[in-house]
Amino acid sequence: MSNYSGYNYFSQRDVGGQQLTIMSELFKAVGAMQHIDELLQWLASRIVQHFGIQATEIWSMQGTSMGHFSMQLRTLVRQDATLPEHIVANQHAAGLAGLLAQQRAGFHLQSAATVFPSYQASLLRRYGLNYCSGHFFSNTALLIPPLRHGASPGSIPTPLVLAMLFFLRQSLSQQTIAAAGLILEQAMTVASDHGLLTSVRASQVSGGVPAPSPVPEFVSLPLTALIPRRYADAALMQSSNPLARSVDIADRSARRLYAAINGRRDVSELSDVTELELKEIARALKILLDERRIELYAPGGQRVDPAQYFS
Amino acid sequence: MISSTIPYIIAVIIFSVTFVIAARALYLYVRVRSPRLFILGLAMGVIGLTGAGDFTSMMLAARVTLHTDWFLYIGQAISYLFIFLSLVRSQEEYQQSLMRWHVVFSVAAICLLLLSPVIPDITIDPLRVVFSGSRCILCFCILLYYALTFASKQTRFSLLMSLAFLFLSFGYLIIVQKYFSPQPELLDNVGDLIRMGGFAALLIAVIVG
Repeated sequence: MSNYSGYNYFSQRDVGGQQLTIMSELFKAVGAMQHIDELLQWLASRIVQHFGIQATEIWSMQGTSMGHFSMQLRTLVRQDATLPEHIVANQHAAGLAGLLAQQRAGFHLQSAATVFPSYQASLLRRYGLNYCSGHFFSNTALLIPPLRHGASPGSIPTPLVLAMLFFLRQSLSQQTIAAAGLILEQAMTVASDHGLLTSVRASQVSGGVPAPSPVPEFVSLPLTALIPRRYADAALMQSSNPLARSVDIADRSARRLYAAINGRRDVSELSDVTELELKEIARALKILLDERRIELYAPGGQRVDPAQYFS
Repeated sequence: MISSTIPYIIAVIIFSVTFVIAARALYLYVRVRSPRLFILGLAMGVIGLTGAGDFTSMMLAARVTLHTDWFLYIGQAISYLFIFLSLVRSQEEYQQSLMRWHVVFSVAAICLLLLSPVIPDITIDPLRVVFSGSRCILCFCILLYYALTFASKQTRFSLLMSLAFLFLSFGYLIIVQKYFSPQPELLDNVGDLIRMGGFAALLIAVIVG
């Protein structure tokens, strides 16, 4: 590996070589693995090591017997163990992983500031993590619940939906990032061949695991990851009286929340800034949504239907 | 007798109406944080100050000379300009930027009021025509905007605002004529009376509109 103009420079040959190396090592190591999480952990650590990526985390969609689905962190590997986990594994990352699952697509290497809300982006920058990339993979195989003790109760095998996030200090070529993502896909084929993933038919025949609920087309982002933006009332002072009583926000918490909304803070940041509890924030959000003063957006900039969160 | 009283009356009316609107607009701005409300409040506040400044200079004319005409013309023109600019686009970033510039220009205009004891009077008539005429043009632009808004969506508010700015622009137009007329005082009073109607319509618009 050579350094060139501040990049970790991989030639096309290097990238291909790295891929081959990792896959050949995987073929040797997979026989000793008992659980898919071991493979994911192994894979993430190899990607960090071989591609010089500062942190890699893999999220999967996890269903429960109650029919709830959420993104769950399966593995996190940091190049520097002193990097606190919560810097890269938090609700913002969960929200981003959920977005990839929802869109069923990853994204190319981007500045952390364009992917995350300003607070999270500045936190990442403080730890030298200036860039982020995301990869998405899914197939019809079933992913068994996590090995980690933090797994939700009632977790059931869930159709494979993975979101892999990379956090980097320096920019890498798109080719290198894409190669790292491709390794995930190839690794899942190896995992399936070695019985670390379950097929739907196998799980139903064995009777050992309950049948999974149908996969929802949409995976909800947590409310805390959404970004409220003020709705520009074009009619104010044009066709409607700007000094009318209806212009005022009667509810105190809603007023406080509205003042704090700047179009960049997500709900969790607004909760910190306003010192309102999340329950109160949710109530205030509903008031502002009902009065058509705000709209909700995902971190990626897509408008979100508030009906999913407020019935 | 009556003609010498009219400028005092118009100054009091301007101050009263604009003070009420400014106070309500700024109160709502603190609660709702809409840049348009801030711009409206600041604009009305500055226009109110022009009325107060004019009234004060007339009352103290015998004791001290206050050349408030600079502030009167420029302050009002800036206020009407920013009201118009706040209407043409609704984007939050634009409104925020406009708000900041409005503060800068308003502060500059208020400096003219504070310096009124020392700055010279406007002695060049063409300059007075330009300053006075600019208020007419700006009010006419606002009138056009509200008239078009009323044409597309007939609301009481846009109708009343059209009426208010119709009176204001017509009033300023009459006032500009005084610089070309052998009877400037008559035109000045007529223009002021029409403007009174404009401010009254403005107050009615924000109360019942």
